Amino acid sequence: MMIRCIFTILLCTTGSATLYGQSAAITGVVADSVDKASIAGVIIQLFDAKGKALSYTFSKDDGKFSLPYSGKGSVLSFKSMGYRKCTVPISGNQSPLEILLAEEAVQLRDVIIKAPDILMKSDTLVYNVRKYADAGDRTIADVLKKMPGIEVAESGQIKYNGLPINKFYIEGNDLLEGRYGLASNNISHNDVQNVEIMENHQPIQALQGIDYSEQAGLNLRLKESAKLRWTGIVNGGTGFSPLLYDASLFAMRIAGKRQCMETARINNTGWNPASQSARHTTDNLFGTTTLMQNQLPDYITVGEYATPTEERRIRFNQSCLFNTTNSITLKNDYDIKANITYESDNLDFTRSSYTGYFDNSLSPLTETEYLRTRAHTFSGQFALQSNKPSMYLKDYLSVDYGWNNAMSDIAGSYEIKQKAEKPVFNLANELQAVKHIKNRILTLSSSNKLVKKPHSLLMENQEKQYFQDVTALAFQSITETSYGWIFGRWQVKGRAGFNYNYNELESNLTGINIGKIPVTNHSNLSVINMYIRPEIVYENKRLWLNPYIIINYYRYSFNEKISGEHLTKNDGIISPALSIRYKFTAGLELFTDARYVTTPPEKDIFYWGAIMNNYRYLNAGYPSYNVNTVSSVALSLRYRNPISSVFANIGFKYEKNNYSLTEEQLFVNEQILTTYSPVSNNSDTYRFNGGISKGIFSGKIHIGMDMGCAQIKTATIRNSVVVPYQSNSIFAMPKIKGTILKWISAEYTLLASKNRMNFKDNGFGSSYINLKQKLTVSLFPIKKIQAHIGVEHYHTKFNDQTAENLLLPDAGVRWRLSDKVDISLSASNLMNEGYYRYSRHETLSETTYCYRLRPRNIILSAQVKF
Amino acid sequence: MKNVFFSMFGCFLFVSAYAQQQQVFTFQAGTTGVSVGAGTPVKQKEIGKAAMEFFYDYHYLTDTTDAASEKKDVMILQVSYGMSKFSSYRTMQTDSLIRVSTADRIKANPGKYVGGSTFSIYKNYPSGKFTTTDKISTDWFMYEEDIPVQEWTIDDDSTKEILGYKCHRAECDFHGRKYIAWYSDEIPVADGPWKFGGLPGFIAEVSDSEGHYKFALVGINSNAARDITIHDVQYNKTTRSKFYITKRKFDTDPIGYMSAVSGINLTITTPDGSPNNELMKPRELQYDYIERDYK
Repeated sequence: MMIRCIFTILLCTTGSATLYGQSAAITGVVADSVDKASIAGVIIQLFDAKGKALSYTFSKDDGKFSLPYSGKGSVLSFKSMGYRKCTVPISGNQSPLEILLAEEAVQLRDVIIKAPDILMKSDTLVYNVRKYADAGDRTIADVLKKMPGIEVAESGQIKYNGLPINKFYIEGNDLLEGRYGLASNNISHNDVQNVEIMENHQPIQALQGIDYSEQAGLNLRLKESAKLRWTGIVNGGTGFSPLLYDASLFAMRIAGKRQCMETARINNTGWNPASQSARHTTDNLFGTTTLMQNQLPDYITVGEYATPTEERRIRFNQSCLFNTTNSITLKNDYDIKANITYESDNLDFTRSSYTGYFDNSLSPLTETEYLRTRAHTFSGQFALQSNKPSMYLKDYLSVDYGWNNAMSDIAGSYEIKQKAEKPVFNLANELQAVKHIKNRILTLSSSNKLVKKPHSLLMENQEKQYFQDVTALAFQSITETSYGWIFGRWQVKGRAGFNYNYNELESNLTGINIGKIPVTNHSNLSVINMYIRPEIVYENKRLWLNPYIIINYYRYSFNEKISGEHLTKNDGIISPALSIRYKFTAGLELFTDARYVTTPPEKDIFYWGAIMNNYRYLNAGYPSYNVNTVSSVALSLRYRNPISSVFANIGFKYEKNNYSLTEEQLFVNEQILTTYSPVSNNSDTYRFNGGISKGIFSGKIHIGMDMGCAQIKTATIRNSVVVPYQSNSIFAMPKIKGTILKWISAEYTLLASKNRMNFKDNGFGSSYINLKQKLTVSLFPIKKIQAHIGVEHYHTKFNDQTAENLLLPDAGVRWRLSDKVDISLSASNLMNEGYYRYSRHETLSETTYCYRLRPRNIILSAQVKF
Repeated sequence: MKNVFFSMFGCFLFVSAYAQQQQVFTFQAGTTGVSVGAGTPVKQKEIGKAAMEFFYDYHYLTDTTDAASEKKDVMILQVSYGMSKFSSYRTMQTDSLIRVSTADRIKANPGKYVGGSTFSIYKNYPSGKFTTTDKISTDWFMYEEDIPVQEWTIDDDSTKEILGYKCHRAECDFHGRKYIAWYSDEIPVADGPWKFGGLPGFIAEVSDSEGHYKFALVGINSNAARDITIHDVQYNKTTRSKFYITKRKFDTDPIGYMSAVSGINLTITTPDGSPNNELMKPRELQYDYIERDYK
């Protein structure tokens, strides 16, 4: 029999409007009056004589029903959508009923509602700051870190759902043009009412609804009490040893069409002013390449440093930052913004090193360096913007000038003084325009940047004096456009651009004889690059496929004015790539990626004459047009189970590089010259990594382990002899982190690694082992007090089997006196350790460095908000 | 051409290189509109055609101590022969908009459209079961349950009018809350919003006794012809209580959830570089879920 199931979901329910205890039941079947098909889900209700409902039931799939009957009740009603209502009188015990319902058109009084607004351009989440703020928080950045989905990276960059935000607004105004560290690290959370996250934020009105952004925008909505008046924070701290200071003033006034913000900070406790002045967002139209990713290299390297410890431990600094930011909205919706910054960073380092060259004929180098760097930067950014639905226009002009110098006194194998002057001048302009013309969108993006670095280096001791003069200039202009179509599961996209580069290099080295190699340069290189990148994306529930190809046209034109050499080369290069993702289940995914990329020569090898980097190293280029190729294949498998909090991944990558030139080291007298030889060279790299983590105790504690290993086989040339070598590394990183009780949380990580370098031909080899463990415990004994204790332990086992241990305990406590005032006491390097030693493999050498650490520092500071 | 140097740093570089690589994959997937990013348009599969549609205003508090925290979404109940679907109307609008978008409307990157609530409840789908689908973070979940028992106590004497229909009052305890419903026997459809049904008429309004959740009928369309769809994605299949436990893990400690299911270890420090574990501390939820019997 045909079953007709009408609009009713058979819930396992019982109507209990009436008393039970019935002794009998009314049973029967409901069917269609025409075709006699049974009807399921008919509402069958029993009423008494006065029309009061007593009980009800529904007909089952076969149309049958059974309703308890106690003798009360006189009418049975049968109702179903699409059928005329039917009532049957009931009296005493009855034989099974057969009810036939006649069809009837649905007659409901429709109430039409308007479809809700679709927020396709963005959706705003509002976080109430009060809900997330705690006693220990000072600035809005502290509170942002706690909001779901928001992360604040160590650099100060803010991310939402894993992607950097594209705008940071204060009261809807992008006052800081991406330098939002100034605001997020200074604005008191007490002044902020709400943090609004605009998902899929398209900041350009003319593109809203057309180009959808993955990124979110963030807006700080201030409290009324914080608007139209100056608010801010004064912070002052002092300590020892030596005498330490850290003082800052932050003030802002947000008032309708005018906004301004003033910042000043002076510090000698290790703070780096760059952490606040860095620009975190850039304006991209349709994925336009960010300007000048390949900045001009610093040919002179005196004054550069890098260590594996946190920089606050080795920075002996005297730093300051002054910034003023102002914005004004004009009558015709144009905004003008100006941001002017002065920062200075004076550093003193003491370090020593020992370098071995894996060659008995080359004597090792010992060096003790006292280095003093002085950096001053003056920068200004100016923006003019009109952001309307019909048109978007923005011009962003940035100018900065940095005068940096470094002085270093070297003792050890050589005694020499170095003095470097390294000024930098940058001028950049970005113009972006979007205009609606009928249903089409016209976009233009043009970025132009000029960089000039007139550097010099003077090296002298009692016997000799060298002088290196080098002025490099680079100009880059990028114009790009893109378009795309969608057909069902397929997307076809295209991007095309024009990139023009002009580089000029003038240099002269005096006081040194390095044989036949020239020591002057007066050359220029212009590179024209036109490219198109067609791309296809296919996706369904399991598979995501993305083949693309980059078609490049290059024109290299090199001129050396001294020798009169001229080189021009035109080339077309095609680089294909394919990425595939396959989802076996919701939790198990496979990624593969294969590509064959041909790259033209790097621009910074187009010069002949040697340039001295420091008293020991020289560099010379090799201006020839030879392409390099990289073929790679990567495979990774990922498993995630959110229900049981398990994550595991495993990955493998193989990369083969084919270089047309090989790096060559020439030991010339006391110097090492790095240049290139026209000998082709292959390198093979294998990488393997994996990790697993699990949340336990309802996710309160996470345990996990990451591990990996890598092998690189390559060769380099030293004094005209090819030296093949192999580099291996392996690491394991277990970690555990959790909230143990409400008032205590802890985190422990260990990183154990081993690095090894082997030489096939001469049998040399070297290896070292590092262990770094870190335990951090945070305590919140009472609401107004927050304390933390941390211990870092470094263990290094050097190649000569000697080992070194370093223990760095830190502690701190913060006490909030009132809403406006808090006091904190912090101590670092409690055991007053003096030095940190570590090893590092470089090209055909191993260096053991020893850096001086900041001594035990105890700082007491107070903060007052106004 | 680059100097190949290996050092103690090597490991850090290695880790970050790999982390980056994974992110690149994820990012590529995200920008092309695959189902990994939150709010990404998701392909739909048709499972029926609605004959009638009912629209509800869905009110819920995100902080039960603060009436101002009330959120609103418009929900749609699509009733078909033998089954029904209850989901966010706004989410449906955005999803369907994606499907009808022309090349002119969507440029190279469709990115994410964000709608309302992400849950959908399918009654009697598959037959004899309820199916709920929802999203936590970037993961889709699905659980089936037997058609639940709602023991209604009907108070036929209490009546009120909703959209011109006379409604009767009924009460029941369901999954940890007490509900007051208003149903109309003038609409002979024994269905209702969310997981409610089983009254001798149509449930036009239902709210819990504490005022944390409320569904109120605001629209009726008895001549609907819209498809009933289900997201065509890979689901994490689970049970009702495990779903809520997972949801709670995410809502109280999103950073912990992300690090557990993505393997990325996040550590937060204060601007002066000292660790700030307090920020990683799970927060308390200011509300509880509509179903409270999962704990």
